[in-house]
Parts: sequence; structure tokens; C-alpha cells
Amino acid sequence: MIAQTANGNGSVSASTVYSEKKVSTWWRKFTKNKLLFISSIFCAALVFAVVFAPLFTDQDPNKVDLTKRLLQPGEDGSFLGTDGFGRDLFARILYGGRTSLGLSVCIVVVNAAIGLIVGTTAAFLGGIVDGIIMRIVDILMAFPSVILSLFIVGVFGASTFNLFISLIVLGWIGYARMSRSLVLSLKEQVFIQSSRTLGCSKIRIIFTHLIPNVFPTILIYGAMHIGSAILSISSISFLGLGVQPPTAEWGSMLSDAKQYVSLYPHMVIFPGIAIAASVLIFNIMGDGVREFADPHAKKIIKT
Amino acid sequence: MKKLIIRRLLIGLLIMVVASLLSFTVLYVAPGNPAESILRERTGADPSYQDISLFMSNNNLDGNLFSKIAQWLVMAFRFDFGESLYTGEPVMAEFIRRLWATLQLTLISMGISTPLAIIIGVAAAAKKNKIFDHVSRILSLIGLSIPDFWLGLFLMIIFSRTLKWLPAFGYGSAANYIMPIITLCVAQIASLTRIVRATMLEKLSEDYIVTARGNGLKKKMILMKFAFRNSLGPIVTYLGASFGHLLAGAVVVETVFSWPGVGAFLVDAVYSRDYPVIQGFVMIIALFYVVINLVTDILYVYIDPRIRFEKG
Amino acid sequence: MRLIEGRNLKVYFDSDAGKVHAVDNVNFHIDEGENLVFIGETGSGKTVLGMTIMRLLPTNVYYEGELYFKDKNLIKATEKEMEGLRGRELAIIMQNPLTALNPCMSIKKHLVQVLQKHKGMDKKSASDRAAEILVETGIPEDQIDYYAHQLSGGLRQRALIALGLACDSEILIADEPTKGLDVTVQLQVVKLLRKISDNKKKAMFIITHDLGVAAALADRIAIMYCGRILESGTVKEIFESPFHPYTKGLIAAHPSRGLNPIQGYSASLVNLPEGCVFCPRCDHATAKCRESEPEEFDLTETHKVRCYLAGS
Repeated sequence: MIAQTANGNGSVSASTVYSEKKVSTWWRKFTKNKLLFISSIFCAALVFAVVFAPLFTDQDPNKVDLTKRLLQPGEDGSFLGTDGFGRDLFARILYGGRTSLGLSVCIVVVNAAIGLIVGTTAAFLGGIVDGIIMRIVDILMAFPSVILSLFIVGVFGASTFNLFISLIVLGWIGYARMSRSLVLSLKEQVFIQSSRTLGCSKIRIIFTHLIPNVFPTILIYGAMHIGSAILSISSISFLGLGVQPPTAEWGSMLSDAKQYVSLYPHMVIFPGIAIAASVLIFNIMGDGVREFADPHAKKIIKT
Repeated sequence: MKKLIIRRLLIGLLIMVVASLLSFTVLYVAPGNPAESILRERTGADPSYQDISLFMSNNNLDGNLFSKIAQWLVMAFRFDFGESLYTGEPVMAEFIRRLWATLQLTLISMGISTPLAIIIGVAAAAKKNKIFDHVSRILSLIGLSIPDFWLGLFLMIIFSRTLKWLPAFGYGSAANYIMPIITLCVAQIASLTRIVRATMLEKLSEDYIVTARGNGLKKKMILMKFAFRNSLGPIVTYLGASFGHLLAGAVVVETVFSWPGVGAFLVDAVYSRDYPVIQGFVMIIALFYVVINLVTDILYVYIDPRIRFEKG
Repeated sequence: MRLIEGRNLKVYFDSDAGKVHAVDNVNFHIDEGENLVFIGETGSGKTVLGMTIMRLLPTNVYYEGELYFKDKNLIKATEKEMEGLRGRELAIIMQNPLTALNPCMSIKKHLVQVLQKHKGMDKKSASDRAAEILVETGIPEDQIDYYAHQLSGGLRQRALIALGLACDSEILIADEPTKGLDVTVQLQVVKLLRKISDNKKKAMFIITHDLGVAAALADRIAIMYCGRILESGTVKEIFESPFHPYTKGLIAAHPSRGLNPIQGYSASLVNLPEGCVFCPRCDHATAKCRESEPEEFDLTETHKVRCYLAGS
């Protein structure tokens, strides 16, 4: 009882009805959460810069110009310098962001979708299906995913598509676990029980009742994982096993830059800052979203 | 408890069998013929059909189903993956030689980061929403966000290129260890600190903390004997899982610092599709995984009396 | 001697939804050796009141008014001073026996710690004394080294009671001591508490929603509703001549009196009605009740009520 009063009456924020008053308190809460507010602004700016890259640079990221090789930042009108092929670094970072961010969002969305469907189904059907799925999930849970990704890429060859697949093979597991536990608690609630007695089909209950109720929490969990997806993509690309040249991607840019590390450190520093800064923004935002979310979600998403 | 360990052992065995099957089928599901690409690499010209079939029979890449099964059994039970397609050296010998270099990195990093992260995490939870907590939270978020390979290169730029304090590459002297270990520790400390803090905060909101306070026990005692003691289980579980992350981190760090460990070996093998090496790696990682999970499970039993006194 | 006295005590929380007045303008006192029972529904503020005496509420809490323990104003006491009082002079029996005990600590160890802290005993004598107290409260001797999860619900509650008795404090706060127990076990627990209050001449502050428990244990009763004490008096006064419509309703709702429920639901603390908090559910409500909140009226020296029916 004390905990409830301390939370300011859990029931108030747990309801999912959105009236006009609700939206205004929602907005107030949003701006009050400084970390979330600021990181959202940064995130919007980042996405804008990457999507509308041509507005910020007139350079072609893939144009090789050997006369302009290895320019230092600021030299010869190049903002952040050029790389070993004379390609403009600033343009490559902006366009590379399209690959890094776009790919990571895709991976998170696909993982969340698979996890949501598998977890919901397992929890709802229960019994043997649930047992088998959860055993697999338990076993795969702690497996080092980067190593499995390397294995997959090693066998099937390095390409963006194989990278994508390799990050999905293990990626959905966390989402499946979470949706399962959410559904298990939902299943016992009255409205699900009552729609069962009303004769709704299982598929219908899954899609009209369970998934919409699980979705918000999964969304939060997904938001928290965009940052780590960017990191995984760039790690594997850095090893030369992900996104292939000449496509600009932050990790593969660093892989190219590695050989120049002692003479032209600018090639290493700027793409790295791009990765670290965008991952940081997404991580802070993920933290903020979790804090913002209702106390119910806070309990389930622990880390 | 005996039951639990036996069940875990059986699951571990299952994982090993699946891993060996997975690594064995690699040879047959992979697109393209490795013999062709390897011979092309070696000679620099398109290999003839005879060359390819000779290479394949020399390396057991052909053969009927029966001999394949036999080959798999040999591989699975003896942990023998044959010779590297590239160097012709026995894979296992190379692994054992390199494993020590990798284990040095991971174990030292673990040894440094675990106590540090626990101290920071516990202190942050104890001082929730105070300055120390905010600073450690921001720092750990930054630590989580910096890509390890970039951090390695960055350290190299600062300490090797600019300050000329440390050697950029190499293996053997104490100075060689510093940068790789710092690189591995940053992410590990950052993530573990967050886990410790979150677990501690969760336990600090439990009813038994109120009981302890209601009994007038000292804050320090409540923090350690009540909150931290109960956080140990989740922390140990996370540590077990993070060993896998450390191994993965080692792959990247070894590539950056040209460290002669298994990680760099794997990456080279993946480049050149040196299948026996990839196979070996899958098996070794699976073995590590099984052993570490078993160890954390056993530790957990000792940590949590609720499991210790379960029937069976 | 007066042990505890609250004067115009207000306790409120800061929350997203605004100020929540959990306890509002409450006056009460407990004399030496006296049992005061607080009755109320969930959310009526009775637990908050108990936790206020222990000063165990979360950090977003604010107090107004005065709350004396002997001649010390507890509301002004520092955390350090409270640490010395808790357990030693103010003991509490927490609700939810399963979660209120540290799962990683045997029940005896719980007591040993408290004895070591407050009585300065060494390990050996603290352990002996702890065993003595546990057996006295009815825990079988072979189970005193058990962990909470190994005990039955009733024994867990007894362990918590033993913990409350450990330091022989003058006052014991019992928060819903019978909650979640089987009816037969409830009876045993009530009997145990009765025995303690008779034998040890302890003053008790008991929180419950069970009229039966109140009748068995109380010297005086206070009825709480929405953070206010609506009526207080001796057991005889409350049960034989209840005055407030809510008290009457509560007694009438008891199964033995015909199970007539009070209409409506308890008001939300965030959104209290104007005037008397009970008026939306009250059959006798007048325009005056909806305008302003009644003050406390004395019916006898001990029987007090907050209702305009008493004033007119």
C-alpha cells in the first residue's frame, strides 16, 4: 500500500485511456524528464541530418578522387578531411549514418516482431509448445551473439544481408522472453478470460487482445536496443565482415582507417565519434523512455 | 540440487552435440567450394578440376555419408578438427597455443572490472539520485556507447602515437597488456555497474529492507547483508553471461592490437573460409559456454538458500 | 505514562498526480501498557500512520504537526536518532511475513543481529537469547535455523513477532498481523499477541481491518477513513454505542451482524470530496457536511467523533 501511494497511485498512470487531459499531462511528464527530452531532440536532429544528408554536404560520399587523398580536416575546403581514396569524410559519415541507423532500426523492428509473435504464441498456447520454445530460448539466451554472427558471416560470406540475418538469429530472443512473461500475466486477467468464454478464436485473442497490450512494453525494450544494434553492426563491419565497400558505414570506415591510424588519426576519430555519440543518444533515450513508461513496465524491464 | 546439476550436465551435453553438428554441417551448407577459392589464393590462378578433387580428397571434403558420419564422430569426441586448410597446421594445437593469450586478456579484465563495477554499482545504489549516482550513471552510459574497436584505436592514437608511452602492437611484455585490457574493461565495467545498481535498487525496495530498518540496523549492514547479499545471485548470473561478451570483445580487441589470440585466429579464418578453424572455434565456444553455465548454476545454488533447500 | 502522542499530525506524499494526504489532522495517544487498534480499509492511512511512528516512509514524504514518543518529537528526529530508537524502543511487526524476511538469512540470524546491535551482546549469548525468544513465540526448536521460505505462513508470522519482541521495547507496532493467514492460524497469532500484551505489559499499536482482531486485542479503538480518525473510543464504546455512520456501517457489515455492506467505494486520496470525506456514502449527510469538514467532538472523555451529527 505504501509503495502504491509513493508511486502516486499506480492506477492513474497504468490506464491506457487517452483523453485530452491525458495528453497534456503526458506532455508535461515528457518535458519534465530532462534526459528523455534532450536526447529526443538530439535524436531527431541526428535522424534529420542523416535522412537529409544532401542538405548538409554537396559531396558524393563514394566519389574517388586520388588527387585529394588523405586531406587533413579543413584542408582544401574539406570539412573533416578525406580518406585513402580521396572520398570526403564528412559526406561519408552522413551517408554512412543512413546505413548504420537504418539497418539497426530494421534489425530491432524485425527482432521485436519475431520475438513478439513467438513469445505471445508460446505463452498463449502453453504446454509442450511453450516448453520447447522456452528451452530453446533459455539455451540461446546467454550465447555470445557476436561470435555466432561471425560464424554465420564466416560460412555464408560477408555481406550486408548476411550481417542482417546473423543479428536476427539470436536477436529476437530477448523480445520473445519478455512478451511471454507479459502475456502470461495478461492471460489471467478478466478480459482475456471473458473473451475466451465468449468463444473468440485463439488467433483472434492473440491479435486483438494480447499483442496490442504487450506492444508498448516491447516498443520500450526495442528503443533501448537500437544503440546496441548500431554497435553490433559497426563491430562486425569493422572486422570487414559486414557492410562491404564502397557502401559507407561507420564500422567499415573505421576498418579502412585502421591502417592510417598513426599518420592520419582524423580518419579514425570522426567516424568513432559518430558511432559513440549516436549510440549514447539512443541509450540515454532508451533509459529515459523506460523511466517515462508506467511502473508496470519498469518492473519487467530491469536493466 | 544433485538433480539440478545432472539436468544441467545433460543440457550441456545436448548443446555440445548440437554445436558439433552445426559446425560439421558448415562444410556442406556453405555456398561456393572452399577448395576452389583456397587453391586460387595459393596459386594465384584458376585451379584445374584435378587439383580441386585432389585437394578435396586430401582434406576429407568429399566421401560418402558413412565416412562423413565417422568423421563427425571423430571430430566431436576427440575435439580434433584436422589441419587448417591454409597453413596445413593442426587446428587444435594452434588453438591451445592461442587460447592462453586470449584467456589472459579476458581473465585479467574480469578480475579488474568485477570488483570495480560492484563497488561503483553498490555505492551508486546507496546514494541514489545523489551526485555520485548521476556521475556514475552518465559515465557508464558513455562507457556502454563507445565501440570497443574505436576505443582501442583511440588509445593507440593517444598513448602510442602522441605520447609514445606504450607500444601499439605486440605481445609478451607488461606494457603490451595495458591498452587491450583497458579497452575490454571499459564496456565490461559500464554494463556490470548498471546491472549491479539496478539489482541493488530492486532489492533495496523489498519489504525485508524495511524490516531491517525497522529493527534499527546500521545502514551499512542493511546495504551489505540484506541488499547486496540478495543481489549476488543475479550478479553472478550476469557475470557468467558477460564472459561470452568478453570473449566476443576479445575478438575485436585482438584484431585491433594484433594480439595473437583465438579471436584474431577466428577472424582470419572467417576471411579465408578456413573451415576446420571455424569448426574448432564453434566447439570451443560451446564448451566454454557449457562450463561457465554449469559453474554459475552451481554458484547460484550456494548463493540462494531458496534453491539450496529445494527437494531433490 | 503517555508513550506516544500525535497532535494534528499530517503526512503527505508528493507524487505526479499532486499532493496525496495519506494522514490528515490526526490526534491520538497511547499510554503505557495500553493496546490501541486502528481499523480501516486499504488506503485509509493506518499503515502510513504506523510507519510514521517508525519514520520508515519513502523520501517523498512530508510531515506536519507533532508526534511525541515520551518527550521526543519523532518528526524532528534525525535518521541517526531514529536508528537508535528503532528496534530498541520502537519495535514493529511488518506485514507480509514472506517478503518481510531476508530470504538469504535464517530467522535466528535476523534476531541475533538485532540483539548484537541494540543489546551489545556477543555472538554466543545473542544466539542463545534469539533461540529462547523464537521458542517462546512458538517456533519449534528444530526450525529456528530455517530460512523464511522453509517455514509455514503462521510460523513466518511468529518469526516476525519474535523479531519485534527481540529487544523488549516498550511499544510494539503490529501491521496487519493476521493478514493472509488461515483462519485457525489467525486465531493462534491473536492469542499469542494477547499473551504478549498481558505478560509483558507492552503497549501495542495494532493495525487491522478485522473487527474480530480488534475486539480480541484492543483497549481502545480508532476508526480510520481517508486519512482521518473518524471515531475513537474504548472497545465498549465503539462496539456497543458506535456513533459515526461509518463505524455503524462497519459493524453492520460484519458477517455476524448480518453482512450489510456500506454503499459506494472509499474515496481516492488524490481526489477527496469537499466537506466530510465520508459524506458521499453517508445516509445522514446534510448540506453542511458537503461544505466543510467536521471538527472532533467529545462524546465522553474517551469517546471522540468527527461528525456533525454529534455537534447538533
